Amino acid sequence: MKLGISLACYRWIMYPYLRRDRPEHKSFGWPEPYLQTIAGPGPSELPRDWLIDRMVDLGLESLYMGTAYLDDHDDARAFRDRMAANELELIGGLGLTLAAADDEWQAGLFEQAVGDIRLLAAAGATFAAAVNNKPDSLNHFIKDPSIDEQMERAIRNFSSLMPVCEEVGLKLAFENHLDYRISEVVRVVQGVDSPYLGINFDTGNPVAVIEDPLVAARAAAPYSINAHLKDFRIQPATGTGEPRIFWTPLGRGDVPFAEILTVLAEGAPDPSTLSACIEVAPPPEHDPDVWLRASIDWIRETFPQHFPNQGSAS
Amino acid sequence: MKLGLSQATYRWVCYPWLRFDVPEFRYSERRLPYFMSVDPPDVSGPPVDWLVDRVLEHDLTSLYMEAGWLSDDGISSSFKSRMQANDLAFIGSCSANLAATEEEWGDPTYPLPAEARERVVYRSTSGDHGWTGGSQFEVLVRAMELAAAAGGRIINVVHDVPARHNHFTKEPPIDRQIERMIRNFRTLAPVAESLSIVMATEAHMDYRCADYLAVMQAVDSPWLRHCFDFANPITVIEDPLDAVKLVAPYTVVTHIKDMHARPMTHLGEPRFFHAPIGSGDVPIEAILEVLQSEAPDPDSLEHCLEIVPTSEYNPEAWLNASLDWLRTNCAKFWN
Repeated sequence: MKLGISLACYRWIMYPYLRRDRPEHKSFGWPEPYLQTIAGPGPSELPRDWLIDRMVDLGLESLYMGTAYLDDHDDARAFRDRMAANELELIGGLGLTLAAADDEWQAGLFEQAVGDIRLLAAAGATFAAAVNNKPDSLNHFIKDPSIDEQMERAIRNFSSLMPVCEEVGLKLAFENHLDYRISEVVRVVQGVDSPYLGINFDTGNPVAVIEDPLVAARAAAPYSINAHLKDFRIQPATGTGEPRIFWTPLGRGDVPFAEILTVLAEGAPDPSTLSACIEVAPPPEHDPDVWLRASIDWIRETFPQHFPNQGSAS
Repeated sequence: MKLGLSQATYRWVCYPWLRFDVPEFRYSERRLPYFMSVDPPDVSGPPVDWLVDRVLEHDLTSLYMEAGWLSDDGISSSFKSRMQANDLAFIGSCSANLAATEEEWGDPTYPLPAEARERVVYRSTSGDHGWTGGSQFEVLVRAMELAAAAGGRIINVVHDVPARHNHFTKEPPIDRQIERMIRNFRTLAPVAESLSIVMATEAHMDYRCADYLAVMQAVDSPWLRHCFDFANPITVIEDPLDAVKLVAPYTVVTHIKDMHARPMTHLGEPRFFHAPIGSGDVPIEAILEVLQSEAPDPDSLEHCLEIVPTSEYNPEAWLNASLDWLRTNCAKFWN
């Protein structure tokens, strides 16, 4: 497998609408981020270039990034060339209302998705994680539309995208994105039944939909063409009687990485092309670079057999 | 099936060490409730009578309550009389480290010697609560004796160190924890038989129902059965409907509650919140269907409402809403 990162690791210092150095951030009432080792992109710096610098600095192989940081096809090609010059692979990110009703899908969502697929292909991506961009109104727990109806819609909508994916040579990877269970994701992938649709397996997200991560990994593995590496600490009993799920650096939580990585290595269609992108996004008052570097070190030290290009820890 | 009450519904109102109207509460940084529609009990002792009042007020048929609160002979005999006079079932509660080592568990000789009965005492103050002076085995035996003496036929035996040992902790790993629970429950089975009281395991924000199923199957005693909690499987990432299908054949009582899932949040950390029954994401009706068809004696199955909103909410309002929902939407299940 290849080791990469998701841009979400830096969400609180990089996303224009989230970065914690905006004046608006102070009104959320969160603690100040003291003693930080990293700042986000400067005013004259393109976030995508900043990310490439991070990748090179960290010695990683692939970057998960969506279309929001690519303005047009010329821009995408320039980014592709810089990634190639640094021997980096782009794993695209595609936000879709994947369980949209047919009329909504035909009224612009399909066209938007096709445009994004072409843009990601121009940027050099041959894989792209496809995520539900309406997780508040469409997810496992929503009753209207029912989960069965949502899955049927997802099959229909994904199927409509397969011809353009084939045309541009880009495989979509349906991600369990804090919304659906892998059992449901697998249902969709089997229903579409195309070599251009697989799974981007997120190791932590099953927890959010009350699904055991290892059970989910076993179900996802035969279709997994990408992965996001994420850990959570599960605190079942608390003073309020409400369980808490907390971010942790990789290896500090309750996700069984040793077992999951073995399952992916043995069961994924082609582990040699599978990019496992670390997605560790601590709360905004924490130092994301410290968390990320600790996670990278842990992966390199603990699982060298799964990441042959990574060498030992820094 | 029948509807009962779990004491935990009123935890922020009546537990001596948690109630919102003691000064210590404010140090907890929890929010105060400002619009409470039920008065807290007298602060002088365990809220036993007060809880019976709540059961009667809501026209329920059972009460799930801490057996240690019946340590006083006067309280116990009065409680028993009142429960019998009102035809109410008492389901006891006791707790210990179920995954204790053999040494921590203690000498499993039963009956306990007289000096142990003097030594093992239950305390309940605004600052502290629980059993003291005995091994894990002795504590549970004393609680079972108290529950049986007060007329209880079922007692939940709950794990009380979930922060130290649970499904996710690694030292020892879960398989070893299950082995310890099997060994420990085996020592209690003869005690339960002697007292004619059925012990019930409960997934109590610690272990999965699948873990407890393994324990019950290995112990293989009619004196070890299960209390199914409708929402607690969520806390250990176990689907509640899948869970009940595993343990329904062993289920002799339940804690019925609901929880709302919020898988995606601004921080990216999933959240699960208490909810009035019918307002959350637990498939209540589907679970009741499973229990109706798979539980050993559905006619006598008590579903004790355990509605535990956080401290700033009015539990009485949540309980009323939950009862209304259950009596309206699940009427076919109630005797």
